[in-house]
Amino acid sequence: MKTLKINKVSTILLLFLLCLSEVGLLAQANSNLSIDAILDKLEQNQVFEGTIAKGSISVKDRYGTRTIDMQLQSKGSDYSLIEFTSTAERGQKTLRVKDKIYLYYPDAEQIVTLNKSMFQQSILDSDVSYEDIAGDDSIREKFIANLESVEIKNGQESYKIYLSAINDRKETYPYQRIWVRSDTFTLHAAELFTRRKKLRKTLEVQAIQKVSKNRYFISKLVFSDVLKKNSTTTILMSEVEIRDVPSNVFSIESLKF
Amino acid sequence: MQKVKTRTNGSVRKNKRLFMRNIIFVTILLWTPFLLFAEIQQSVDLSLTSALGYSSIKLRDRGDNYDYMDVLGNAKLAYTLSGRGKLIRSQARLAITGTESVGILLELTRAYIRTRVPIGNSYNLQLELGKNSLTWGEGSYYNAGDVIFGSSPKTTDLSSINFRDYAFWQFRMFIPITDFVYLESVVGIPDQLYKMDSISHIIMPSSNIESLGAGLRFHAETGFLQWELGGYSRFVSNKISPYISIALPLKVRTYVATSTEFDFSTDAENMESQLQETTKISGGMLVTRSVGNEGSIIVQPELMYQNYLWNVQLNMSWFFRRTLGLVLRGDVDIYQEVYSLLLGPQWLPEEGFTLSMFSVTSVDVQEQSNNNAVHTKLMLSMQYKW
Repeated sequence: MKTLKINKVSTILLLFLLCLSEVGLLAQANSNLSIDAILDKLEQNQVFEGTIAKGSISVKDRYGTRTIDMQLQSKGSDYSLIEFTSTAERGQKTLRVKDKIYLYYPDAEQIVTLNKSMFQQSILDSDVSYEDIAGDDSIREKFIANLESVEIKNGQESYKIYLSAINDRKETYPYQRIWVRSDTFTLHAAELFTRRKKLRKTLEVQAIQKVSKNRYFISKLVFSDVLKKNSTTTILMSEVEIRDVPSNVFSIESLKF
Repeated sequence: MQKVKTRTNGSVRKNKRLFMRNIIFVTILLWTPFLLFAEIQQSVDLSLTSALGYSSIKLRDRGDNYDYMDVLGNAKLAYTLSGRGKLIRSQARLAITGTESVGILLELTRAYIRTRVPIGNSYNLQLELGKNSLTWGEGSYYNAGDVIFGSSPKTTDLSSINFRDYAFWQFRMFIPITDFVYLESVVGIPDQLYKMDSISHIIMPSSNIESLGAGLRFHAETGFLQWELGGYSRFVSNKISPYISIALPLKVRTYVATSTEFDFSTDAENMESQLQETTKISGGMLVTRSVGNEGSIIVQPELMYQNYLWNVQLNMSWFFRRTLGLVLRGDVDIYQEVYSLLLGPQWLPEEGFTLSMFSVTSVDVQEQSNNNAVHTKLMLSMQYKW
């Protein structure tokens, strides 16, 4: 059970890493912008070259709230190393290199590679599954996008975009509706639909922070699985440092130290 | 008679002095490394297990009045201290275990210093000295690749939290070749335990010289296949055990390992050296699935082949709610002719806290045993970490 929980914790963090956004240009809502231009900006802003941060994952459901603290380092969208610092999981680490995930258990001095079949499960009994974050973050290669409108979503002017998968059998959520902030071109909200076009999950960015001139990151992200009543998962990040992280951080040696 | 008594008292005093001297040494050893770290982390683990009820039905009467005593309860309190810097890290854990069969056991379960030595700009060598765990091969219960601690679990008590909670004194070197290929060498150092007799309350040292040895393993990834090969040599008993372990990240995680122990020890009667070989093969798989909206199921069967016999172990958890589930564990030990089954609910109200109630049934049909019986006990178990 412990093994799975850590697997779950790790992957939710990977998702968060993908959501850390870099913004090159502040912009006012521009209805003349093409859908391609909006998605280009969004995709360009998905990943930092290197991140060092502290944070937590809170899962709130009918049984209460559980919070797990962690530290993470990432490089691009392919590399991340997460260490859990809460008492129950202290010292356990997760390394992600492209589509491989390695787990380190300090008590047994053991490294276990996470199997892809585990990706179907809920992460930390939360509202997020491994499949939600599997695959690369290239929207335009996998979806046909349609700009529906520019609207105020949760008090923020956003581009409302509808995505339908080119091959709906390959995608976990073949139909998606996303809101992209018009000022920062960061993800603001999303609705994820099943193959039968039933709403399955919602995602809401509740806070972004400016780390330097024209650079932002998502500091609070809330997931909700509509099948789970009264359940939300909040990922909160703090003490974020944007800088290059050496490649050898994402190795077995680093995992074992 | 008087002389014998004097010698015994002298021996007890000597043991006590040795014990106290070692306690002081260990205390210094534990705390000194932590002076190096700005941040020190501490945690306490408490584990309590008690039998609520017990029954035993004898299968055959051999006429021997053998009073069988199974594990009816134990308590373990462990204090862990850890610190880490950029190039050095250290951990120490002191555990007090109490069982009705062994009495009180004070043990230093972890005490190590690990340091990183940069090699150029790309890689770091790691050196470690102290008492720590080490897992070679793969397997939660049976692991033929574990040539250091053995292929069988440390405890066959199915209510145990960790079946392979092994640790030994070692000097270890980790040599990375690439990011995911490495060499690891280890030298095992004899251990010393202190046990307090539950009746006389005398503290007795016991040294484990069997762990004196050296080993090496090579770990690599070839495509989707992870594999490692290596071996461990025991100097005292003249045994060498090479092994190979393979993990297949298929749709279901599958792993296999095999090892052969070559025993070069000398026959005491004939004073002749004769080679004995023992081959073991183990394998297992880990299946995990989501069930319903908030449930999950984990199934982990493992097998081990030894002396022309297969042993089977099954570990299964079905959590129909996030906090509540059922645990089923079974062990068919054909080699020992003991069959065990554990079944019961488990409750996880918060992180780090687990409460379980298990029914454990074990059937012993060993031909040579005087204890052929069906033992059933109802156990209550609690673990808390803070």
